[in-house]
Amino acid sequence: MRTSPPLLLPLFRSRAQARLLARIYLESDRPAPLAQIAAELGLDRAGVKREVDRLEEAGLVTTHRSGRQRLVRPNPESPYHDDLFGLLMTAFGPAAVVGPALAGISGIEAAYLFGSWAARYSGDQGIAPHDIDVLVVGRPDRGELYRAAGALSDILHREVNPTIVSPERWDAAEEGFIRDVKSSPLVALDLTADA
Amino acid sequence: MSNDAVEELVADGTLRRVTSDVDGGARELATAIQHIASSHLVAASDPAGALVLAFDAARKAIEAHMRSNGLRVGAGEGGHAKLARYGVAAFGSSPAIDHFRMFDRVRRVRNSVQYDVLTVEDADVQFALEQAEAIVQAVAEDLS
Repeated sequence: MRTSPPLLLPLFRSRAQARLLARIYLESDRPAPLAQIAAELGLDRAGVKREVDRLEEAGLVTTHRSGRQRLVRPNPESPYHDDLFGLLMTAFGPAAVVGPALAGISGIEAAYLFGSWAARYSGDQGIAPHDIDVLVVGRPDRGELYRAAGALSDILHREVNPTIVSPERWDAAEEGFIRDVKSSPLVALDLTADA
Repeated sequence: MSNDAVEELVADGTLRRVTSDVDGGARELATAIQHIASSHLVAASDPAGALVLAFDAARKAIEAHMRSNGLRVGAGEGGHAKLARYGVAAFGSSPAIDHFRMFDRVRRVRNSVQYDVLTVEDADVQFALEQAEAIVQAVAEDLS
């Protein structure tokens, strides 16, 4: 768990702690065992356990046992709950909420966050992101996708800009823009979740 | 057409007041209508050109509406984005409001074509034309 502070909001102790909190707070509708969260975030299990213990002692999360598994949830009774949720949503929300918002739109084969937000999320130094760039591979209804992006912009307090490319263009990668996107930090979005 | 949302854009400098030019607005709207027809003509052979024409048709229709109502975009960068904000403000209670909201998406696609040399897909052209036609019609009805 010894990672440097998150570039998107370096108020947190480490990127690992920030991502853990974001996973717990922003995806509270699917609480998961610690081992699964560790695997999802690419963190070591012991480190996640120590961090969750700390967060629970501070009253920010609650845990309960379900069989042999320990599930973790945000603690709505914490006086920090609402403010912490807001900070996490604005700073780290795109990775958690963009995928589910696109999941119900037919014609999308894959979607990625790219650009400055994805770069900072991935630990690349640089200026603070202004917009959230989303690369959508497929043939979605343009209007439906753009309306979803508008709703996401309101939630995330940043403009969400989708760029749509057909699967053939994405695979061929003959355009400089697509080559640039493919060679830059990408955050793959999970399109299987319900909105 | 003026309302509180438009007045706010004047107050914050996004727009400025000028003398109303109804004839100039009508000429600009006529040009927008020609652009729509031209966009349809070249859509199959020149999708990038068709997209730019559809964008320009929508842009000129919104400008025509501003001109007729004695408004121009304020000084500074982002003129087309300011135009988009005017469209949403002026047509906030119109049944065509969704198309005015989508103008900003068409603007972004058009920019990505112009500056990132992205390939234009048929669906991009169709989407741009749908928005442009609805915007031109809404402006024409309001100015008639």
